Amino acid sequence: MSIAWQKAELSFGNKKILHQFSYTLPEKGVICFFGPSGCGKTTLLHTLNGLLKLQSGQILGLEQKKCAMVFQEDRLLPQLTAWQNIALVNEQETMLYLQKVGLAEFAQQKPTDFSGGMKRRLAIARAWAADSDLLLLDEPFTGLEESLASHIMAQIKLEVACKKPVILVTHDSQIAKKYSDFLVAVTGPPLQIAAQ
Amino acid sequence: MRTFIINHKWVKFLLPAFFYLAIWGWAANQVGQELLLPSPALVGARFMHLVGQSAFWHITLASLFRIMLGFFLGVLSGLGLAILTHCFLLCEVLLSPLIRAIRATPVVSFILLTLVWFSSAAVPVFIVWLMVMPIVWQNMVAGIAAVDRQLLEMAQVFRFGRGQIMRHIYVPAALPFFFSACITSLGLAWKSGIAAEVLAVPVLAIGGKLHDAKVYLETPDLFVWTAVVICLSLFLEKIIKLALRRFGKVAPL
Repeated sequence: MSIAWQKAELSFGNKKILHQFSYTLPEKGVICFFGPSGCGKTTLLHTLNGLLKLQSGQILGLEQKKCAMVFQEDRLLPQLTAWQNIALVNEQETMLYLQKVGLAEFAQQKPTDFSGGMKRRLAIARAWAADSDLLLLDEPFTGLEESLASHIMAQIKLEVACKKPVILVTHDSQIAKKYSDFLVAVTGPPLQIAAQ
Repeated sequence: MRTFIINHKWVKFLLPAFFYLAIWGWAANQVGQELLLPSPALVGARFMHLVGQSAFWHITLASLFRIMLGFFLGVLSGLGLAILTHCFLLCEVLLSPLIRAIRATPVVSFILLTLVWFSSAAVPVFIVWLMVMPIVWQNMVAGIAAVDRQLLEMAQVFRFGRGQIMRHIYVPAALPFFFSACITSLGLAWKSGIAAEVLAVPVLAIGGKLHDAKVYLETPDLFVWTAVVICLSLFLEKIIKLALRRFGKVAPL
């Protein structure tokens, strides 16, 4: 069953972020929400991952669905090694996912020793490795070389997006055009679909 | 070269020790009355005499036991109350004014009051507990509040268990606060514990010996027992620092 927002309402104080927002996600593929910073894209993702609750309206098809997410910030556990950060979400295939993002040789190093790009790759590997029905990517390629980003995204499309929805949120039109299977241009707040 | 010599570990320890011993010796010589200020040599001789007696070790170990018992009870209860405070807002509302009142009250008031309530041996344990618990509670409440909210959100999204959240997010965030609380409260535990022993005068107690030294005007004994307290306090601080550092290394894994 597809996931769908129906007349979703969400405000922070007097500021309406979602107002009568409705959209049905395709069942698989990379769905890219593209729009300016601050329009409510991250808030939309947080209604899917359970961090925010709608004030009215509903999200259909989300029951029992597990999410994995690359946050705008890396949100890695600094005292653990790269290997341990991934092992927390997938103990069996830790090294496989570190290899996929080119961090296998740094498995025993801590994120505090990593560059910004390496931290980003580790955050992507963690979300990719986690057992999930929905992969949420919030500005995942910030600080990442284009060739690496392309390589990683090509693999995600091949291995993940063919089975489940991958929701990519970005303000970068190049990234949006390059990686999306379904492009949704948004404006706001309140978040509105401008074109799809 | 000069900087190297000054920075050498032993020079850093021995230089101030000899410097202050020399000042002490000079001052004792100027005063010229052992009753007012005994010389380092006399105190050293008295120390060697006392160390050779089994009673010295019994007294020292009994005081050490009382103070460390109060200290560990204070650490454990402070930790437990901080966790309760994090879970239930009512705890903070109820505990906050009480802890502030305890910290503002002179320790001697508690000692005199508890002398009426407890046996003389239990007074130092209770007083140490009373001094340590609020420091640990306050530090741990601050430590738990310092937890990174973004990491908690991440843990929620990736469905971490309670144990994982505690071990990988709360413990690393609160550990530096716990270290600092233990080190700070250990010094206070010795000061308040010995003060309680001086007033309660339990059997076998360093505080009791300080009390006797005052009553019988045995100033060299006063110096010896004070030095024993200082040495024990510094030694235990070192041991606790080592233990906490070791615990700190293994805690996040």
